[in-house]
Amino acid sequence: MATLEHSVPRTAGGLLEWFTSVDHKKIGILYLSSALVFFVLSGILALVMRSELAQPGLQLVDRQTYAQLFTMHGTGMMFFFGTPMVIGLANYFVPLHIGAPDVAFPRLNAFAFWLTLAGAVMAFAGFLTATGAAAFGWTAYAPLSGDAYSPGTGADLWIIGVALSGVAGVLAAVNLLATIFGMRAPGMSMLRMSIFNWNIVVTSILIAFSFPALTVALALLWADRNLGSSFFEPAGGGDPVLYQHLFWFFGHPEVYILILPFFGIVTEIIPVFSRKPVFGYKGFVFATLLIGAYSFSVWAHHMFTTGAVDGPFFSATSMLIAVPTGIKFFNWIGTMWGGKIRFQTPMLFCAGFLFMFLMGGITGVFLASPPLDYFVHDTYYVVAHLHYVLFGGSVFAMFAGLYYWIPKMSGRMLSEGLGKLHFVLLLVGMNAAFFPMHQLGIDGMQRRIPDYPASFGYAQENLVSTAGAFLIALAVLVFFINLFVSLRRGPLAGDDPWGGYTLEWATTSPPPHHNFHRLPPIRSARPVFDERRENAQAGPEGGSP
Amino acid sequence: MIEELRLFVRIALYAAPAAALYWLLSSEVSGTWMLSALVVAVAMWVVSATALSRRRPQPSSAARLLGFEETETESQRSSLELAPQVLPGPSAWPAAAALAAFVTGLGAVYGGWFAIPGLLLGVTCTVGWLTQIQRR
Amino acid sequence: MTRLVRPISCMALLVMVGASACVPQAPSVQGRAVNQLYGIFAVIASIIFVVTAALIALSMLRYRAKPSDDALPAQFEGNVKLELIWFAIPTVIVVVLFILTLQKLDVVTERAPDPESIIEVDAYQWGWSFTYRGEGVNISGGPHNDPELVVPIDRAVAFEISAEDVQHSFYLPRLLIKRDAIPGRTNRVDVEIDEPGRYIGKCAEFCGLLHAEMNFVVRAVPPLEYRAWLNERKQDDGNA
Ligand code: HEM
Ligand SMILES: [Cu+2]
Ligand SMILES: [Cu+2]
Repeated sequence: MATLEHSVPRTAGGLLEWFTSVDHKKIGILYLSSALVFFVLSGILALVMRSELAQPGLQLVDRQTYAQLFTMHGTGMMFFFGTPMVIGLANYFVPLHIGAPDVAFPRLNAFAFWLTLAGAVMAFAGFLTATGAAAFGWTAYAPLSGDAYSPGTGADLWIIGVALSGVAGVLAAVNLLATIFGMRAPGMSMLRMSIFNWNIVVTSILIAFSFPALTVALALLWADRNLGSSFFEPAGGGDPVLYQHLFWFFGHPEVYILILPFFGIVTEIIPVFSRKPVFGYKGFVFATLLIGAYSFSVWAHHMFTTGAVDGPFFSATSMLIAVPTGIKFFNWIGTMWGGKIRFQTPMLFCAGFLFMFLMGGITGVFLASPPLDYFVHDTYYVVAHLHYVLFGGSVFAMFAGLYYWIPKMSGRMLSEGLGKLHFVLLLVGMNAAFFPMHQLGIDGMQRRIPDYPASFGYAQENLVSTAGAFLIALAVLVFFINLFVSLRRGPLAGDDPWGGYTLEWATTSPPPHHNFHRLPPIRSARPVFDERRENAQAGPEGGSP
Repeated sequence: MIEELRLFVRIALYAAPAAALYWLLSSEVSGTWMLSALVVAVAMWVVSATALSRRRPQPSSAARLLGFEETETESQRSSLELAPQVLPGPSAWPAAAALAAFVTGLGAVYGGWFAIPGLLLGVTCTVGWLTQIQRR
Repeated sequence: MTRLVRPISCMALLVMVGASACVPQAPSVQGRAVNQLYGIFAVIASIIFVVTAALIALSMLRYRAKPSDDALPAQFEGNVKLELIWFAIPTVIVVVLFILTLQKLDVVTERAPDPESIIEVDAYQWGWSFTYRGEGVNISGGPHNDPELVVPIDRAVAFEISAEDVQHSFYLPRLLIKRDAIPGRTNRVDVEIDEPGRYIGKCAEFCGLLHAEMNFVVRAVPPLEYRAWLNERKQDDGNA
């Protein structure tokens, strides 16, 4: 088999290299690093919130600061951690999965990353202004977010910052779609792509068609604040509910943007660690598409209590999403069934994901029923639900993905021992932090409050929840220690430490500049597996696949 | 039709009746607009992609970009190497352009005069970026 | 498989009891509809949770790799019939839940044709104003001066909810009910309480600095007492 020599472009070298690189792998790592930085930042904000809430009374921060904390925690997690984490993983692994040397538009790719970072820095820069950061929740409902009620510059910085990173998201999504549609290696038909790639396809479509609604909402909000228009000001003939329609037409697809790629990761890892193909490939593809299409028609389930939306319509469409999600669950079980499962760290996090996301998905069906939503909307029940989905779901799957793929990105294995410790601490911490919130919500504790009277009887659950939050912090600390130690001294990974199926395992760790010196033949969704099996059959020295 | 376009067609096939049903049930204007806009946007993707592909029936680079070559038939071939390809070298323009957007954005917060250096930098970046592409 | 049925059903029972017991019984007609719906949802959800979690756990425990065994397991790629079954099961469940939802939605949104009183609720930063329509009685107040309104038991009372500045949300936790107060719009909620008592009300939509302190109290009393209170208030307000 002939190997191909590519002309490797000159690189600037040193730190400057990171600023000028247009290599999808470097940009992927930039995305991942910046996402992790904002994960830690937003997580620290959450720790301050949890410390404040540990007991009745205002001890640590004042009310205005608390409002900034939950606003920037939500904003940071959704826009500057979640979305960039998804795009970063896609950046690194989509070209590898389809056997391409890079993405379709490498420079645009770099631009999208720097624009995301610029937006994130701008929104968080609000903390440096005299009046502090934005303080109207990550949803920025008008008219509270208008100039009359939120006069500070922090609010404008938030609007422009989020808008910039929103535009960057669309650019990244178009780039990913072009890459997947146009740069697949010969033999890599759509129905041989990894399930991860399928999820990125649907995610990119969601980004491309939902982020514009956010941009419109933010532009109108900016005009209301700065040009004196009144799109959302009832006094001037505007309608606050219009803002919510625009926001949630983006906002609901956004939560699928934050979960679909992680479904994809889990669907990559479970088959490899069960040593079986995925159960029901087409079922997964079909379910992913269905979730994508449905997610455009459910936005107003966040607005049942406005009394201004059609309850039955949005209830029906939202509950329908449970069906494709159910298919995925049973196909995951079907994939493990009859396998030989190895519980290394990536698989452990997948196991955690399955149980935690199941919990979050089920409470989601409650929220899709208007009478129940009238009851628990805007309480800690919702905070519990969304963290089971986004923390128990996305973050667990993210860690699964990181333990699975960092050996590929760095060439070194992460420590299994620390990984298991990380997993146990995170699982315990996450349940301690978020499970009691269900009960708090049922007992009537609203979200976004810095304090509660002792007489309401919320103290016990809140104390447990705060303790859980600090366990989470400890777990994340263990992860970073693992990262720092293992990247220096971890055992070498080799090309394929897990017995993988997809093309990233057919190249070196880390991959060369053009990704592949040679590609195995692509005759199924598991080209690396196929080749390994053929080699094993051809010669006894090949060992078992 | 090929798999890629079918994706978009399928979303339109769901969103169009959803928009109609939504309007019939609720007579609510903004949601109906958004769902219809989704159908139109998706349709625009499909139409422009189809138009692009007709102009270049050969699997040239642009058509390849849109994934129009019939990949299924190629799948019979065995081990294939990638065609040699020149990837762009490092470039400072993307990061600089993002900085330009950042400064221009500050103009939207602190007043228009911030936009002047931002836009100047933006123009410089566009020119620099384009000439860099030309040179390669 | 069969020897797992008992532990699983025991677990299901525990989860169900836990899940439905934690919602206190509401002292109102509408609230009890929510209680019932939540109860049914909790039972079905617990069964789904326990069965799915048990299947996940079972597949993980049963099919974990044995250290010595290096052979490749059977490589089956799916089973369309099975997949159709687990397409159908959630569909049926969801349809049932949706129909139940529609029924209870009617109960909680139904408007009494002839409510005992119509109370106009006006939320503002930061406080509440309650006006008894046609009675000339107004009660208002904010943080540290929580307004206390009185309503009759066993009679429907209508709240017409709006806001003056930003969005708020009228929330009665014990009655399991909440509706947004939106400037420029009016939402109506009817409540029929059937146990006398003091019920705390809150603002549920973040509305700025004192959002957490925007509490109020609904005191439910027998109808006669209510009338007496109303007349007394009318005179107080008239004299003032
Ligand atoms: C690191 C552990 C985390 C802790 C301890 C935590 C804690 C909290 C708490 C206590 C709130 C409620 C604040 C309030 O309503 O007063 C909250 C809100 C929120 N969290 Fe987290 N969270 C964590 C991680 C995450 C992650 C990973 C995500 C998403 C990827 C996330 C997304 C959100 C969002 C969107 C809100 C709503 C913010 C708002 O009300 O505007 N959180 N979090
Ligand atoms: Cu949603
Ligand atoms: Cu409020």
